[in-house]
Amino acid sequence: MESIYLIQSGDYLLGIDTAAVITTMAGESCLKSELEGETILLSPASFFNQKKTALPPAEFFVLEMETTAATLLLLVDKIVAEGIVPSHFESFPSLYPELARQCCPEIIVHNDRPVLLLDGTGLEDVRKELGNDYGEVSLAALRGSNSTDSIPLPHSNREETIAQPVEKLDDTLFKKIVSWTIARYLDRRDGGSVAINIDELPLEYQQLMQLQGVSDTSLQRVIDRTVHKCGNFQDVVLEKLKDKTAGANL
Amino acid sequence: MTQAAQREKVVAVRAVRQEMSGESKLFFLFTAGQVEEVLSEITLLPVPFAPSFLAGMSLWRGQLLPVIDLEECFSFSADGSPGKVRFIVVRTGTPESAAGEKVFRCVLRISEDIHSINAPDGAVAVSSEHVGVQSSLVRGTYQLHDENYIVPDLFSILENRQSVKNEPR
Repeated sequence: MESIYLIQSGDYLLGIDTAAVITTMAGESCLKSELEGETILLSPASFFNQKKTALPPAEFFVLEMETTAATLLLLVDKIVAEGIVPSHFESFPSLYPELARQCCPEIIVHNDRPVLLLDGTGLEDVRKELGNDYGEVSLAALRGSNSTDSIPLPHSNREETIAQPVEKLDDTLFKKIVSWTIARYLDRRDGGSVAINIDELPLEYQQLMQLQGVSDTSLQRVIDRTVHKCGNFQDVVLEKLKDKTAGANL
Repeated sequence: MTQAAQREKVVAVRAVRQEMSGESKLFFLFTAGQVEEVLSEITLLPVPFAPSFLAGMSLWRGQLLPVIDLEECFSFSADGSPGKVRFIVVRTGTPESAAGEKVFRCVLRISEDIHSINAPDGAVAVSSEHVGVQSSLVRGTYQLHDENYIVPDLFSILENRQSVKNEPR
């Protein structure tokens, strides 16, 4: 291994053999690319923590990495450095999990920080072994969350967005309905698939709908889209989103 | 305990998450020779697929060491806030151990209630079940008045790969 890319994914500092990296691209370029919506990207941090993938920071990066079987698209927070020559290899600390050894078979120390060297084939083997979709996010979901006709909800450095329907709702009512839908989703998701009908909306919301002349179809579409997007977010993100949209005053 | 142990200084760390029905206090005991450094903070780095008791890893004097949440390792429940923490770098054996004996080190995340005390004279050995811990992880368990003491088996904790489930948290 002559040199590596240093990448940041969540709290993990990872190294990837430069020879294994096919392409790198800024997140924005990836979103606008010709890649199909069904394309799956893997967040190493979410995969290692075995959690559903959180939305990446606004300026994320995508690395296409070669593995024995195919290629792998990694969704990372940032590319810290390129062309780093690994020199100081460390032995594994005690209790280093076997799954971690397969994904990251070597550790180096760079600038007094341990860097886990990622092996794409090992990563794919472990994904197959675990057989779950933790860490995965579709390009379509990322594109949807960055839609230009979306309403960015107020807070920190990550924007969680739900797109508005073509027939526009009053912003305040829209946010209230999103918040209500997320709350219902969180209550019901353990029971399997979640289906929420507009008939379940509180009476005051239904009355406001009628006042604004919003059709049942449009409103049901908002609810359905919100439920669909909920499946891509971690619960902690959904809780934040629910609270922030609930704060809108009617 | 023997007179020799009575004169020996030991390091006692209070287990804050597992108090015996509010009646007895529980302490982890280490020999002074086992404790290499006490730290108020460390740079904690995540480990992929880490079991719940493995808080991460940390670079200490050029060595990459596992950071173990000691009370989590013993499956003590965490009711409410764990409070302030400290970290101790501990080793198996002591500096006086036989040359060539392999030494294992780790960082333990512990409560801030840590003291150097005289080895409790008059403490009697009790079963690990009495104290509520798994026997394979301890070298001994003792009781003196309303205080219970656990002497962790560091070698067993660090080398016992059976206790490290490969399934992620």
